[in-house]
Amino acid sequence: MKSVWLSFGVLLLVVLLVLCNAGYVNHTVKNMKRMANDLPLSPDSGTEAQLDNILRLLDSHEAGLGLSVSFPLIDRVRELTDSARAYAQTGDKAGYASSRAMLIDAISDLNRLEKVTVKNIM
Amino acid sequence: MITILIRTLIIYLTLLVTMRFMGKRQLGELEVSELVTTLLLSEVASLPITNQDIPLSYALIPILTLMALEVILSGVLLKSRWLKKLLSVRPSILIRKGKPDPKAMEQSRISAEELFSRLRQKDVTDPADVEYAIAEPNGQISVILKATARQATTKELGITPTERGMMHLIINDGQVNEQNLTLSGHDRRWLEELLKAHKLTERDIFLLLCDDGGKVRILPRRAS
Repeated sequence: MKSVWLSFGVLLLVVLLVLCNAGYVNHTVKNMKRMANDLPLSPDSGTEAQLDNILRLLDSHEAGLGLSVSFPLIDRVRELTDSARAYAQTGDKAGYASSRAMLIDAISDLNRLEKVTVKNIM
Repeated sequence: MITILIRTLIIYLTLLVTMRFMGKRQLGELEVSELVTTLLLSEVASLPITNQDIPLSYALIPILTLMALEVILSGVLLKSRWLKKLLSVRPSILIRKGKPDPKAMEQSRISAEELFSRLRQKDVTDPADVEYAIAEPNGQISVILKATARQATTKELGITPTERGMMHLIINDGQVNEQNLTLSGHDRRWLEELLKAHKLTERDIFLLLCDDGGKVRILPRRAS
């Protein structure tokens, strides 16, 4: 029975780790999403700095997010942030708007596996 | 990872129920829950090895969860009769006193041809000779012959033969196996005296076997 209790402990630990990780990922993604939503619909003088902040946040949490978020998803957020920044720099409003919208979607995808919905599970 | 954990639980339970209903024929040597765990582990473990894009946790979480579930379930099954009855496959008697039971065969999904084939593999050609044939939870069929069809035992013949136990491999290719020497109930001194009596050294011997009754068989490396 010792091994049963040990396994019970392991299972509890796994559930605890998963819940903590979910909390961490959701919190980080929420912050990133808020920052992405705060981006203006048309690029202005402060847009590049705002995008830099999103990149900095992603960089600082990349190791943590990488524990449970697949690497292509993280790379996609980075690429879209870079692309939105490039469009903002050149003043391409259409390109920027498209990149901004895609960036918000990509950030939402980061915590897709941490949302308990029928759609995600099935 | 929450989704992965929930998916692991759902797939584990689904497979457990599926395998339970598939019955004895699919199980081989494993219990239902063991088979399910084995099936899932082999698949899950290979995921991060073959796909570099996914984090290691995608395999670690399911592996640890499955391992824990398997051990917990086996522990609970020891204590809970109800759950054991629900999840474990029970043995069923296919032949009773020489008469095949069609209902039990149907439940175990074993045809008459298959049953007869299994009996032949156990050197039984006539089901009338069988007292019991039982489909075991591991998928095997146990056959207990009628007293009239069984080979007479020494007990029935009133003979008391010497108990020889099993053969212990004492020397293998010139190397003494100390553990087997002790198991056979002898020591180094006995071995040295034995070799001396046969005018041999350890190196001269390919195999030296000794049974529990003390009977020794020596196979020298070169025939002298």
